[in-house]
Amino acid sequence: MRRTAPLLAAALALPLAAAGCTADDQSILDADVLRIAIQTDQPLIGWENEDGEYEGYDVDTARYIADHLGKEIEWVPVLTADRETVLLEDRADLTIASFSITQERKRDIDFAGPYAIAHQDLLVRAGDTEIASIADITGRRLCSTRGSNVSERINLEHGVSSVPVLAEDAIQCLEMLIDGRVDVIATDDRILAGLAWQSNGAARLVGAGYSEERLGIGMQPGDTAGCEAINRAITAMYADGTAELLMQQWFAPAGMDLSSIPIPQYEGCE
Amino acid sequence: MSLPRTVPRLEDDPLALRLDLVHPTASPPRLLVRAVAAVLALAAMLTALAVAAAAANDALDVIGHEAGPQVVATTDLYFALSDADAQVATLLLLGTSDPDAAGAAEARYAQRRGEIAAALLEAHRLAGDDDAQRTTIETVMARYGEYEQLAAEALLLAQQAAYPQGEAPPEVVAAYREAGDLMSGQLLPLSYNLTLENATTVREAYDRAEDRIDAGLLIVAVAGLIALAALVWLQIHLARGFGRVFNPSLLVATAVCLLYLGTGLAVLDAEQTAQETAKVDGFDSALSLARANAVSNALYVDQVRYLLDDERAAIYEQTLFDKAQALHYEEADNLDQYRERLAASWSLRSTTPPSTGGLLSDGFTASDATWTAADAYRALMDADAAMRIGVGTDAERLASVREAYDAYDTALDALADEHLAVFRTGIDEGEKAIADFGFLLPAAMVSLAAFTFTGIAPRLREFR
Repeated sequence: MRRTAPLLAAALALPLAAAGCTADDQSILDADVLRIAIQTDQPLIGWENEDGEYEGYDVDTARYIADHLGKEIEWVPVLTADRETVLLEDRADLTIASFSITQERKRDIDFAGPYAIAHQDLLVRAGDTEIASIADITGRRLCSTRGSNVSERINLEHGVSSVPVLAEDAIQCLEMLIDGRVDVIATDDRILAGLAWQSNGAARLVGAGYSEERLGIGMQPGDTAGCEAINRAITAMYADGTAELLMQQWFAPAGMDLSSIPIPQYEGCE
Repeated sequence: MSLPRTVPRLEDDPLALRLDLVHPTASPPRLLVRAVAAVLALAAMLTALAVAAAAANDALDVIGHEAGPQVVATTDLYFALSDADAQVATLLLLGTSDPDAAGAAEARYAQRRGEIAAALLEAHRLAGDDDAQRTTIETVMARYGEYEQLAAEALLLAQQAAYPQGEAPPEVVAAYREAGDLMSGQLLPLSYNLTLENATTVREAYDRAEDRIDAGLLIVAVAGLIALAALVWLQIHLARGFGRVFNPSLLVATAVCLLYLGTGLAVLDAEQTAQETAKVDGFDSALSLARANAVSNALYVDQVRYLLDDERAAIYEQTLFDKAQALHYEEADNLDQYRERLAASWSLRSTTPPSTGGLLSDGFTASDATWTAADAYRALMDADAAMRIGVGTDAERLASVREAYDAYDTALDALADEHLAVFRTGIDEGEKAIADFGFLLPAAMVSLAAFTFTGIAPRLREFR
């Protein structure tokens, strides 16, 4: 018996070791800390306030999800252009930064969610009553931030041709809109709401809603269980009323129409 | 049986030693130790077999009889909801113009309402004691009540306004928008997410069963080999110690052990194959096509809404484009480009249509049903383009996409049925493979222990 005991022990230990080897790709569920990439220059969505704290709808969403999963957060501030690279270069686990789910992006990274449905919308000067829908921007000067080719996309996708006027960033677009160098800014309604809020009443959200954007949570590819766990957290966020509360808190003062807040239909985790 | 009395007596007998009848190591405790080791290893092997078989059975239950059917029930719910909405939008679009088509839409609306009620009850039943799912289903029930009321109001307004096709007055369109937003923004996502939640349950059950069967296979193999070694060790011990080359009882025990080891490994392996077939070839593809079916109906609703609500036409065109991309991806900026790419990539008749991913194309196989579905999808996208160009009355434009959609829907169902058949066969085979296995294992344990001990019993008696 003395000689068989180690054998039996080995037999019992083998499958445990084997199970360890066959474990799936790394999952965010295995870590104690989530590295979450957020924007820090988008008022109401993800930005750094005067006290140096991050706040906004996306930041609160990140906090809710991390809390639901029982994880600590390590913030990774990103620029809009780096939202995908931080994941691919393993500098962040999640990107929660006004990140639209597109089939193109899905070829490189995975998406949990969407966690919110946004619409492409238009921002005009408060006194401008000529622009009520996307068709009305024909021939008008449209602010185009570097690399966004928004004018070209609107032409391609909606057949409306506008005159692109180049600007550095969204803040400069707002300045140019107010002093009359451009007539309209076109992007995600949540971003426009932030600009409208910053303009102190000088700019107005049209509510044209010409295109639907599903905002997802970017993930490194291959973490099905992690993706499903995040979707469950989002389900809880909508079921317990947090999502609506956050929408009201951040976007209602900026004049966004929140009469019906849609529940996101998930992309599904592959 | 105590050690000090028996051992000296045997070893001190010079005759026994000279005749080599008694191996110096042979003694009742040593015999017993070997026999007990053999029986313990046999017990470990059979327990591992039983545990792995039970785990496989649990997984089959979840995949085949709980979460699996719930996936079907919730996609049925989605489809019925979405198609009910299509009929409401159709009635509002047609106005007083085409009584036949309106009559058909009304009948279909009534039929879908019945199906929604049935699907809700079924989903609620299948949710069992899953509180989160039941709460969601109850939310869908409540919101659906609101939808019916809003739809009824829009239909009543339409009846009072009595307008010809395509000329729905603003108050009718506004009333429908409220209903339609509730449908697309609440009811459909809730049911779609329920489907995905159950797909998650299936995946978890499957992964768990895979891990357990993998571990089971290894434990069974190792324990089986140890048991065999122990039996052979016992056999050698008897041969050396008592001069008997073969012990019949032990030979039977060894043969039965070999038999169970072989059968057990084969059954677990067959189980794993059956589950993999059911999950990967059957369930995953059927799920993908069920989702394709749901998204396709929502895409058709976008077409009806496009005709009904001019002000929001741009957004309905874009949401339709999004859905088309989700069904089958082609790199394109707009619908026209998309159709061109589709025509280019599917014009060559390969065994399966070239796929760059999507809910529809993930369900493609090398079957005739696949090409029928692919062609029907292309025809639907062509009909969509013709509808947008806008020749003829609204009723005619709608009728042509409706016809294309119906043909596509039928083709999609046929393709989905192929995968569902694979799924059900996989579950059946898996269940057949382990049926009776659980009952046979205890019997095997008792008989193996009996054979082992009857094998050593006569030798033990020699020491008395």
